[in-house]
Amino acid sequence: MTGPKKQRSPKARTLRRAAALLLLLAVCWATGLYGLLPRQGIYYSEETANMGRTSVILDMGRIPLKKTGYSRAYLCANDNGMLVALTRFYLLYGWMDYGFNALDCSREEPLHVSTYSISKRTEDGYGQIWYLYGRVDAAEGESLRASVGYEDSGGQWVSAEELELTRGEDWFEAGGRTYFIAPLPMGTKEDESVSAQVRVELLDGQGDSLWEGRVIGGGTGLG
Amino acid sequence: MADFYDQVLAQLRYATAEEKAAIRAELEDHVEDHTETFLDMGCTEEEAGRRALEAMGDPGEIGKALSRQYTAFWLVMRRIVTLLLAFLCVSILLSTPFHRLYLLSGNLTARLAPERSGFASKRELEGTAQALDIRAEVGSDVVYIYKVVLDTDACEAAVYLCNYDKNPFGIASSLLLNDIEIVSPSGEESRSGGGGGNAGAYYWCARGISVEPGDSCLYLKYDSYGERISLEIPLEWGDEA
Amino acid sequence: MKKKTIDHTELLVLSLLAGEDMYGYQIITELARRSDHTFDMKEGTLYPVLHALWKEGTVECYEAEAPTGRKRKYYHLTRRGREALKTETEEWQRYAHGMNAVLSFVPAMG
Repeated sequence: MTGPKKQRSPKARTLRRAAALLLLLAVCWATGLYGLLPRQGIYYSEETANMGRTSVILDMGRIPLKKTGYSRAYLCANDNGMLVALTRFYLLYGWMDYGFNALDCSREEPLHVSTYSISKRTEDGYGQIWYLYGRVDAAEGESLRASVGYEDSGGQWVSAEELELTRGEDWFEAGGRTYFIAPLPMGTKEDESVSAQVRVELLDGQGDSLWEGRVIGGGTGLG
Repeated sequence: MADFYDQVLAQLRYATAEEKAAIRAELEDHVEDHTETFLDMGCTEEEAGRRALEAMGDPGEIGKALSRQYTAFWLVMRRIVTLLLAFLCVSILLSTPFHRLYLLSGNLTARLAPERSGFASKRELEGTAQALDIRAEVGSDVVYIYKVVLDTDACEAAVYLCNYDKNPFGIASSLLLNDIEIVSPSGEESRSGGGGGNAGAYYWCARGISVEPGDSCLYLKYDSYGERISLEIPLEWGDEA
Repeated sequence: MKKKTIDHTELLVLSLLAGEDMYGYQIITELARRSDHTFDMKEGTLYPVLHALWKEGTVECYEAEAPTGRKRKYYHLTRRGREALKTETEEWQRYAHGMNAVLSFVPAMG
């Protein structure tokens, strides 16, 4: 209705403003202008790894290190790979990516496995946590043995820590695939350069080895 | 002593100052009109005013009935919504423009003029350079091979490439170029290289590729996360004297 | 009988506005004139009614110059208001018809 300016009732004004807010939220969601949810932080990591869209298969909760603010870690996956995505909430930007480790699972292998270390140095100290994670594609696989150690001068493997993960207790299903993730006892002290390595063996129900190898992973030092 | 209008407005706890002023004005206008009518009927000014005000009724009752339209609920809701709206606008204005433009400029430079980028390798192999435009989509990014340099004497080639997101405002993958292999027809891989970049685009120069005279092209291979590409990079040997 | 969902004052105001946009004092005088003073309400109580209708969205308001030359707040019936008026008028007429039927019923003499 053209002509004199229409006045609005309090209810109408509130509803209009709420509509503007919803519109702005939709724009933020579509363009990633403000990280409304951790999902947008995960998106940045997906893009940096160039692995396409993933779904969250495990909410790992807060990052278990001091002084990481409002942070959350998520284990995500799609058919081609896995992603441990760290996200953190910043008031000015919303949820942003805070670090990640990606594992390519697109090749035919009985087992895909990686390690991921997350460390944070603060004035009061140094914290570090390691994870072992991956996907078991071999249907006969029943257990996984991880050995943390190093090769001595003679080329012999010296094991410092051992970890066993079994299908029954530790592995879990998501989207038709079998995944696992567990903290890895690396036994490192502050400032000690991690010379330890990780070897993993996949065993079937009879104890026969299906796959064995050294695991190369990655790490994030949280600033 | 509070006048008639103040008594009405006293009942409106949750109306804003503007709303109260509007209500007061409306009621005053009504009384003004009614006073006119009484004046026309021959009353004195004082009497007309008094009778008009009387005709309005009990101010407390009017105020109470009005307060049902000016409740706390809508006021509080509006305050909350305004706060969220203001906060969101402020954070977007403060954080976005620089980041977005920075991504956009990186993306566009890679897309249109990769040589101009500060990250494109400056160290040149001796030989004939040939500008190329070979692009392929890999996941949500595009790989762009923009130059190849061939040293016909040393039989060595260098390939210049970059990657940027399909969306001009998007984030380029920093890991994509790590997983790219450049090989000669005889299987010789690139032995050295250099590059850099930022979230707008990444650049790489693959050097030290041994080639044999007559090799018509090099191959770029990528196979990660279910995306497989294989591209041919033509080599121009020119007319040998 | 269905319970009245609209106040009779609201219905009267809506029907007045169906003809033309009016401001508060004009509504009072018109109402008194058309109903031959049957509806002679306390004038102040009109405003809560108008504001309630405004909040519901059945009327809109704007500032304009009245015939007297002064600026007044005019009320305008919206499309929603017109629909509400139509429904409620039909309801009212059904109600009135029902009342009349009962009141004028004369039992058959045996």
